Amino acid sequence: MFAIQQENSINFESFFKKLREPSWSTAVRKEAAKNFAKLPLPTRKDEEWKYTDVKGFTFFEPSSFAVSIVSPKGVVAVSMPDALEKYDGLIRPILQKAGAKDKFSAFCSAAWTNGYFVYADGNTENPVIVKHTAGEPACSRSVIVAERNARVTICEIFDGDAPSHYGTLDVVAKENAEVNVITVQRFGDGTWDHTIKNGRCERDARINWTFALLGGRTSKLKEETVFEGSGASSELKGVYFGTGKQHLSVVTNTNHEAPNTRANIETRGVLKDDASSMSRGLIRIEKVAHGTDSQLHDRTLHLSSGAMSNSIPSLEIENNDVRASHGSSTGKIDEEQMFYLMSRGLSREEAETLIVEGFFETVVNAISVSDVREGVRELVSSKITSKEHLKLV
Amino acid sequence: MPVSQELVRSKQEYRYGFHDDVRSVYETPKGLSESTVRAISEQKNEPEWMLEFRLKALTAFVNKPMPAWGADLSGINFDEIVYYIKPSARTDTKWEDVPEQIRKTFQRLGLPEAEQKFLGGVTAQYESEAVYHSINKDLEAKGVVFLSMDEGLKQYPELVKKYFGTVVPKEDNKFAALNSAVWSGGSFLYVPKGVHVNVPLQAYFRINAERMGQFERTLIIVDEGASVHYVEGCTAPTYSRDSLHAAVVEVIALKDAKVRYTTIQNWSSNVYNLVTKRAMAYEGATVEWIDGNLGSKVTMKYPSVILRGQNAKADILSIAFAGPGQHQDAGAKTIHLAPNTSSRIISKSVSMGGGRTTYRGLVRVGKGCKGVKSSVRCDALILDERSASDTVPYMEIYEDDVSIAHEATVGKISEEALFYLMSRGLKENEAMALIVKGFIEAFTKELPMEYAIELNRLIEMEMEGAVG
Repeated sequence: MFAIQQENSINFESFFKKLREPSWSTAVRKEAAKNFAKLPLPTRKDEEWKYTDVKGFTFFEPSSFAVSIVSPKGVVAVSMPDALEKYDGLIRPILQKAGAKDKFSAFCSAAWTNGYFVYADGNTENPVIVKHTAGEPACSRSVIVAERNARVTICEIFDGDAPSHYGTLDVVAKENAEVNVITVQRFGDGTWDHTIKNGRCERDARINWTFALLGGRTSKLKEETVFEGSGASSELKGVYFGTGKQHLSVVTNTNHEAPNTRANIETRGVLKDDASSMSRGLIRIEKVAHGTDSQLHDRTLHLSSGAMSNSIPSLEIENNDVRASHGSSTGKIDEEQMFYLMSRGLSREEAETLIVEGFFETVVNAISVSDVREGVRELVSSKITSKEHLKLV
Repeated sequence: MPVSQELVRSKQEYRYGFHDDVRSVYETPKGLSESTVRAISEQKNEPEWMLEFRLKALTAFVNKPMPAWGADLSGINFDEIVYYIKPSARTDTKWEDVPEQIRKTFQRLGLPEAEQKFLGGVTAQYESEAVYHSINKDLEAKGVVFLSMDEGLKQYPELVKKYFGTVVPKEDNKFAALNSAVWSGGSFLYVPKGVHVNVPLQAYFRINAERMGQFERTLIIVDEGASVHYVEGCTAPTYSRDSLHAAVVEVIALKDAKVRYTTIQNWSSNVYNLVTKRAMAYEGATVEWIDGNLGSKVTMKYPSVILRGQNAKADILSIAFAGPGQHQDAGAKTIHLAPNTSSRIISKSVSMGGGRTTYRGLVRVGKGCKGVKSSVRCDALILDERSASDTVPYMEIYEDDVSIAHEATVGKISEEALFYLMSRGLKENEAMALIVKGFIEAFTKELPMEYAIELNRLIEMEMEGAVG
């Protein structure tokens, strides 16, 4: 019923007719569908897709899926369909203004069926928790807006055995606002997942990203942060763990477009069995961005000889008053560490688990929601020890 | 750094910034076609297989698109290029036989007799063909073959046929294909088993005709247990019309051989310098590329080593200077195809006056290549706010038992260091020159002495215009 379709056979018109939403939203979708038709499909020649099987990502007519939201006091956190109804004034200009630069973003703008909208105008201590559960081909679209001086944390979880999930998230942090986005992706082992997260920081604003990319057959996550105002900053910590035949692709782009902005990006990947990864980070520093301080680090640990990793940490720097650096390292578990732990009575598997957990710890520790943090820890250790990894995740 | 332009303007006459009129006896018409390629091959009286190689390469060149990445190459007009010029001199072996006018040029180029003594052999490329070539007697006695590529093909056809185009296939990339179709000149070097060449072998290259491209081809074969240091330096007079330099260098380091290839590239600031340099390292062999990029409008050059035998080693050291209007898109590649191979890449770049430097590199480790070690270090210095720098390293690791590290930093000259030096009485430009010289010292100290002195002098002269 929800068979994945070829791009040219998607019937957006019949999909639009089924929607029950304000007409302005459908108009935005129609515009996006036109854009989608015009934009080219990425190919292996595109840098971001050089190591990823782009042909496995086919477009489809999306079905509905569940989004459950735990909303603390003092912040608006609703599903996107609810946002269209209840917060028309807030969400409308954002959706109308958003233009898609690539095929997948355009698709999500046209075809989303659910997602969440968070609007913060004060300081919220407790996190917003959003759980997406998709069993059928799903397309999500979400928006976070933090007003001046606001502070908010969102923890988003993606779960389910959907054959595909494509999603976008737009984050706007206004002057001196702070937005923390924690993402845990634990789809089933057949899911083709493609997610784009765009962050815009105004003056002195902070957007901090934390992610754990664990599930899916092939999962591509792109996080892009743009510093539009001076003094803005961003901290990104991410882990990815591939087992079986998983392919995980992580793209982190940082655009410094204003003076005195700071970014620190740290990604860590572990690859087991025949898993493969692509980790591409780009720090772009524009002419006007004096006083930039930007760091990018990627570390990959191979647990098996079948694992393959590709790492491309890039810098594009157009001005000289900057401090920028990147580093990347790839290797296997240090045999001495292994020997030490095993001489203390641990089995090889236990020792391996301990080392991988330690490798991930600085990132996992940054997940400020304790339940979710523990969940990620469990998932990581089950991925190492489970003999069912080929079947399960 | 538009070294040549800048220096012409400076009070001191830049000894390389001149141009002698040389009458060419044969040149192909502008533009590239099958008949051009046939004419080149016929002029050189080549064996049939080389003509076939050239023609197949021409097809590959025509079919390959221009690279969609890297520097801006839109200024190249393939139809405006003369693909082959044969100078009025035939290939000579003795200095006295070289026509006087050309000899004069080389003297002004700075090949004094003292230098000739210091350096073992000299091949000099004038226009498209080697015209001067000499080798010390003891090298000849050791069985070292050091000829122009054309002469090498004539005298050692079997050896050339065995290795030519094996490291850089004719369809490797658009510019390697172009070179394979119309190559002319370059060096052929063979070092026999166990022979150690104690003095650096040196070749000068030079572009000296407007609208003329240079497509030299160098093949270096170092047999088992042998060692050699080859030095290639190029300087060029300045011209208003764009020029294309698309060379191919192939190095074969057989079992336990050791090769060092040093280049200082200082083409005039109108040259597109698009060069494919690659080495094949067999078991236990060591290949070192020492690569300096000072001149040209655009350089795209990524010296590579394919490590295909156990315990082979690669060491690549490169520097790039980019001044006004220049883009130095340089880097390095190491492809590990055997266990326990190791590589080290160090890259230093300086951009100023609106120039752009790019480090583009690749470290690839194939499946089953256990015990591979590789480290890459890239540092970029941006001297002013108009200049730019990119770093694009690729790491493709398909094996677990490896240790791969990459690090890069980009920044400006620290105000503190500058202040410290100036408080000791140095002028700002002197202080900057000192810092830049220190920044690239790891490179400079690996150069033959004359090159190191010359490089430091060039930096000082460049800095005079950089401040105020």
